Amino acid sequence: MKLFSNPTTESKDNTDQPSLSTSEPNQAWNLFRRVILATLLGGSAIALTKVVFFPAVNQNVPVTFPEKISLPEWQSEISPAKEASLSRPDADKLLGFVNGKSYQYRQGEKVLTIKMRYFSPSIGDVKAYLTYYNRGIPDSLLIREKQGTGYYGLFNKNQQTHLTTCLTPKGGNIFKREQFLQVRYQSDIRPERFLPWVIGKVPLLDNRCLWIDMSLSGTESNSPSSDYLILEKAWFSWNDYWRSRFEQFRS
Amino acid sequence: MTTFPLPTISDLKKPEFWLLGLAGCLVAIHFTLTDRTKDAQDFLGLSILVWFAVGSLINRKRQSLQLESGIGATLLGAFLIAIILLRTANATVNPGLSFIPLLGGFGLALIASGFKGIRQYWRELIILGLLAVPKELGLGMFNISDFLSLLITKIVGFVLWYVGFQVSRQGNQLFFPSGGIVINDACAGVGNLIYLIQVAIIFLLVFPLSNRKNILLVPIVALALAFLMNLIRVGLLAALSPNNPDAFVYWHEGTGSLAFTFIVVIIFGCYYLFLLRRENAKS
Repeated sequence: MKLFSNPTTESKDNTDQPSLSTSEPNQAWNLFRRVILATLLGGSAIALTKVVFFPAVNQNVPVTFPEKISLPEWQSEISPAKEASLSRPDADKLLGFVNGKSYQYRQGEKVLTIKMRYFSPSIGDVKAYLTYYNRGIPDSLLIREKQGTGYYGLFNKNQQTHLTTCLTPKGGNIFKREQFLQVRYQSDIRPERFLPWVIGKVPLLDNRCLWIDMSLSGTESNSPSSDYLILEKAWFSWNDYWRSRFEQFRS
Repeated sequence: MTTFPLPTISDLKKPEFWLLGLAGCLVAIHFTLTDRTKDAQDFLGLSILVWFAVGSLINRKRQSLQLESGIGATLLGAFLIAIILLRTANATVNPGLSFIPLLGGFGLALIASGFKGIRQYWRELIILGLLAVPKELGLGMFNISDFLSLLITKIVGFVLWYVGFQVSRQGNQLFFPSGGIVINDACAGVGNLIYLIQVAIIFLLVFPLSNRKNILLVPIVALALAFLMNLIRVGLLAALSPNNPDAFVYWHEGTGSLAFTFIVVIIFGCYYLFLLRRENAKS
C-alpha cells in the first residue's frame, strides 16, 4: 500500500534538478549549505533559549509628566488632585491606562484643570474614556475639527465646561475610534516602521494615545460658547507643547 | 526487532540532520509561545495535531525525499526563517503565531529541496496553512452565526418543550419559569464547525481515501457532527441554566466546554477509521 508519495512526480523532480557534473563547485556548495544550516540551527537554538528562559515582557514606559508647564495668560497652581485620582481600577486594565497627571491653572476667578492620561495600547475612543472616567457622556457633546490638528469634543457638565481629545503620536488629535483607526492607517504605515515591524519590535499600528481632558469652572457668563473659546485657545498652545514631545516619546 | 543507530560524526555532513534540528527548534518555539498565550487552548490543540500530522507525513517519505537545493532558494528560505526567529525572540505580544508555521514550513522546504522540490511538500504546506485560517472567519466574513443561533434556538426550544420542559422562545432567547438564556453568536458554534473542517482536511491529507464519494462525504459528516454536538451542548446548557448555575459555568466556559469538542473529534476519528477500513477491505 503506497498512498502518500507519488513516485512519478518525484523522479521527475530529480531529473529537473541541474546535475552538477564537476565535483569542485559541488563541494563548495555543500560546504556553503552546511554553513547556512549550522547558522540557522544555532540562531534558532538561541531564539528558543530566549523564548523559554528570558521571555520579553511587555513593559509600558510611563510618560514623564513635568511638574509645571507654563501656559500663556494662565497662572500655574499646585493641583489638588493626586495622581491616584486619575486611575479607576476597574477601567485601567481594560483601556490600557499607564499613568497620568493633573494640572491646574488660574486666571482671576476662572480655574482651568487639565487631566492628562496616557494609554498604551489604547482603543482610541474618547467616548469610552468619558464613560469610564467621567461617568457618562453628556447630551451637549459637540465634536469639532481644527484643520491640521484634528478633532476634539466640547461639552458642559456640572457647571464645568470641558474640552476633551486624544493626542496620538503621529497624525494629530482624534475623538472617535473611526478617526483613530483612519489616522493610524494613514500615518503609521511608513517605510521607516517596516523593518522594526518585520522583526517584531513595533506593532503594525502605533496605538498609543494621550488623553487630554480640560475643564473650566468659575466663569460668570452663562453661555458655554465663550467658555469654549477660552478652552480652545488654551488647548492650542497646550497641544503644541505635547505634540512634539509625544512624537519623540518611545514606549 | 529494530535497532536505532546512534548519530555519528558523519551524520553532520547530511542536510537531514541539520534540517531536523531546525524544524525541532521552530516547533518548540511555536509551542512555547502558543502555550503561553491565554485563551488559545483550541489553537494549541490544533497546532499539536498539525505538527504530528506533518511529522508523520515527512517521516513516511523520508527515504524518498529529494534534498537538493539551489542558492536562491536556500537564501530565501534562510531569510524567512531569520525573520521568524527575530520576531519570536522580540515578541512582547503575539508575533503572528498563526502565520509562523506556514512561513517556517516554506522556509524549511526551500532550504531542503529548492523551488522545484517544494512540490513534494504540498500536503504539509496545506496542513500548516490551516493554522493561518482565522477563527473569526465564520463570524465576520460569512455572517452565518446569526442564522445558526436562531436555528439552534428553535430546535433546542422545540426539543426541550417536547420532552416536557416549560419553555417559550422569543428570537434567540429561551425563557423558563425561573429564568432564561440567550443563544448569541458565540454559542452558534461556528468555531467548532471550522475546527472540525480543519481536522477533516488533515485526516484526508494524512490518510488519503481513494473513493471520490467518500472524500466528499468526509467534510459534510464533519460539519453535521459539529452541528449536532453543538445542539446537544446548547440543549444541556439550557436545561441546566435555571436551577444549577455552577454546572452552567462548568459546561459553558470551564473544562466541560472542552469535553464537547473532544467527544466530537473522537466520534469523527472513529467514522474516518471505519471509512479507511472499508476501503482497504475492498481493495
